[in-house]
Amino acid sequence: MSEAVLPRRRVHVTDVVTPIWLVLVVVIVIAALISDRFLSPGNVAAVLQQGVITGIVALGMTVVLVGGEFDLSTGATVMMAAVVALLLGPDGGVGIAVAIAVPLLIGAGIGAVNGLAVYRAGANSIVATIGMQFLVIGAVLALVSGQHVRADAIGETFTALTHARPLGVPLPVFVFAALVAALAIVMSQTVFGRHIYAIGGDVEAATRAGIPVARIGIATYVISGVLAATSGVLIASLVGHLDPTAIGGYEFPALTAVVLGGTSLSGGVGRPADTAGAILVIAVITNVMTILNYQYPIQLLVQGMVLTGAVAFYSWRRGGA
Amino acid sequence: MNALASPIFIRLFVKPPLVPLLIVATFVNGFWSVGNLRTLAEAVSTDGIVVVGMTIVMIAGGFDLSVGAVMAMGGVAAVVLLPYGIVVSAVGAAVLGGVSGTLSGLLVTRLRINPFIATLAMMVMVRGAVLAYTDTRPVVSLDDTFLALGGGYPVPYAFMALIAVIALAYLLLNTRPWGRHVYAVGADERAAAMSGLRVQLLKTQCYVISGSLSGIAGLLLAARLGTGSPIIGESTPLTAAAAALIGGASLRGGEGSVAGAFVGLLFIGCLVNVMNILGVPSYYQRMTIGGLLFALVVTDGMLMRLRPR
Amino acid sequence: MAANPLVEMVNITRNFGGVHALKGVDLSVFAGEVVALLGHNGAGKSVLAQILSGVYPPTSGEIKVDGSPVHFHSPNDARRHGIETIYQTLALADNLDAPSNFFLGRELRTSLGFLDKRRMAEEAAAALVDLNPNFTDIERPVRQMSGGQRQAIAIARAIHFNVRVLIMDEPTAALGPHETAQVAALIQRLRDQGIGILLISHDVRDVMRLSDRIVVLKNGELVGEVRAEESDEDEVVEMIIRGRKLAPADGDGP
Repeated sequence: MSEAVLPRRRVHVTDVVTPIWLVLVVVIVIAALISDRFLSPGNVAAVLQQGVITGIVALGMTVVLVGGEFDLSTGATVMMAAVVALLLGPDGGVGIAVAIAVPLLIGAGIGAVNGLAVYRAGANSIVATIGMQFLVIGAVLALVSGQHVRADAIGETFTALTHARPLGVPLPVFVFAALVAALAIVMSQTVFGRHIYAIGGDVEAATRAGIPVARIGIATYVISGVLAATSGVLIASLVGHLDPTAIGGYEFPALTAVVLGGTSLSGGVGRPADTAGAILVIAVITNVMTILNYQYPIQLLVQGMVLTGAVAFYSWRRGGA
Repeated sequence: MNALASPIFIRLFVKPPLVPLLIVATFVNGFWSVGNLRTLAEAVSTDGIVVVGMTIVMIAGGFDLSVGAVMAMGGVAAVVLLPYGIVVSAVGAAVLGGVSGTLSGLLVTRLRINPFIATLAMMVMVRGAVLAYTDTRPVVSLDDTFLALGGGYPVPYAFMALIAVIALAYLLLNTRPWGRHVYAVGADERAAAMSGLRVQLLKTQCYVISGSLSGIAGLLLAARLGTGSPIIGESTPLTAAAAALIGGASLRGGEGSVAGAFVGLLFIGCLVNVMNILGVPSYYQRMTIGGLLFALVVTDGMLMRLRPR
Repeated sequence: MAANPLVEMVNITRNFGGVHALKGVDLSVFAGEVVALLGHNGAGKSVLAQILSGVYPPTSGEIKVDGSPVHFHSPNDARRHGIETIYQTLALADNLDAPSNFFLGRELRTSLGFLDKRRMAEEAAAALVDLNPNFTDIERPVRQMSGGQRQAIAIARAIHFNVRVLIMDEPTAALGPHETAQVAALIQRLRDQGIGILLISHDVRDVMRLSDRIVVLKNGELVGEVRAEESDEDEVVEMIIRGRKLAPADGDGP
């Protein structure tokens, strides 16, 4: 009798190959057909480099959204981290450690404030984190008086964070892969991850099961803040100097990737690995558009359409809502 | 009426300290001059028209993040259509905004997409389309009639338009059955549907109104500046949401008033105006708006939690 | 019957904002006893039950387990004292499978600290089959399961972990006659095992049949209590509606 119930550890093909990876294959084939430059080693590296920066942001937003909430302050946190890392002058062993640690700590702090507002005060997460976005951008611009930021000195080790290419692959790609793997394990194999899914699925059920909803929810925002700050530090390493008004807007492509990867807008469903797949899809599309000389405005338009299409597709597949 | 019914501490907490701010502003050189008051009126009039639309959408339980992008589209469209006459230009700006609002409404009601995400996507698409159309450069107009529309002394025409829009919205919301229906939909969509209201149509109409008003606001702003800029209005959704929230609207719908939102906007407008007079850089203003919105949303959430379910 | 109650709630009050949901209520549950909590919507019975479940702390008053005072800060604290709850809504996370819901909030871990999914699935499967032999394929999101299966999960997880007091919130409200009979049988079985049961209901007929003692609340106050065998439907209905007992006994409400 009980044999029908007793679980066998089954791994279906569909557990691993979700639709987004098929989409990725299709997009790559089309890209290769459109442009023979696409598969050149230099371009592939560029696609990955591009995807990784947004991808790390998207991973954090995935964790927050699995819990059922949004984090649109991430773009501002990226900018904050890039500016702060450069202002700290990442030179010498201690200097570099500080230039990495401080932005990550501030990112964690921004996440904690977001989390408190959403999970303790019950604030609407979209509007609250948009408010936070403006608050952070304004504060960073005030910090540098709206001026171009150039580090006094940048150590080679700091630059190497993004410019080193072990095995011919940019180092950040390894960082990204490691983060995807780590988050995949956290989300699927730990009690903490399980509780995030429970909160996103049904807050009331989670509360009644004694899950510390607020503490875990705040933790998801802290993760998101730290990951966004990580992206910012990588940008600082990549460019070495920057115009703070010119970087930003990472939250939108990241959100698009999160949704495209199948994370439900109402929470409880979604996987970091699928977000990574979606990030690559968007990076390929963006890259092809750049090769074909469709500039930023068209890319924006296409991203908006991809987001709308993805939301519509998944809501149709899940039977409405 | 609604505001009187709510506890006094909430009123003091939520309502903007507009009068204290005005008193403080007396000590700011030139605040009460005719010239500055006119500047203030100009500044609040375009945002104010947007706020009216946002408030109506929020009463219906929705949200419209696309208002800033639609405003930019309205301004660009108005300038581009000017060669066909001022009427075509004005109608064009309003209709384009209405079309965008229709799309938002359809995304929300037909595809059942969360209104924040639906209008965020609309915001990005409209912004992308306007930037692409203008090749990211502002379009300039030297048409006299158009520029005159952006003038008006001592009271700017745009401000008169705002007063007219507020009056119309007030009548629509408070004296017509339609207004009752919008409140009903926002308060309890299922109950509204069961009492026979055409919920989807009503909500879509609210988005159309918001889109059209944003288009018109864009036109008036372009007339004042003499250019239609594809990049304006980035912080407009924040300002509009903050004003509506100050005015008693809630992110859960069913509440809010156009008059209250106008008071909220006046408060924000005075704050920004005083900062401008004092020469406070724009990024501090950005910080202020962001912080204000953040605090308002937190308050909104806390008030909701206090309420017995 | 044992001299000491399993749990005792003394002079419990609870305010929400300015609303006084409970105004000093006493309630006790003994081992092997079914106590029914009756009252209109808004009488305070749900709030009282949720205070015992650890969902809300009381504004004032005391909860004693085995005679010693306890403080519940979360449902976990209550569960640690053997107080389990089956909610009317079942409180299942629809996106998770049966084992995940079964162990929600007290997951089993491997020696490395990861989720022990295999052991959780096996234990949940055994417990579920025990309750509902027709249970198949437990590793699906519970969203895809039938109402009976979902209820089986909620019941199974409440009685699996050394339950001593079981709170059942409207356990038969959404059920057909067949399932209602199953729940009634389950209540008998648990009572015979010495478990104390707090039954929240507004169905007087059900309550008369299932319970030993009946406690009636109105407007956050205790109206009174009667033994089911010494009372009848009319008296209980009278208490619910009028808010007073026909024949006053000891321990009258405040």
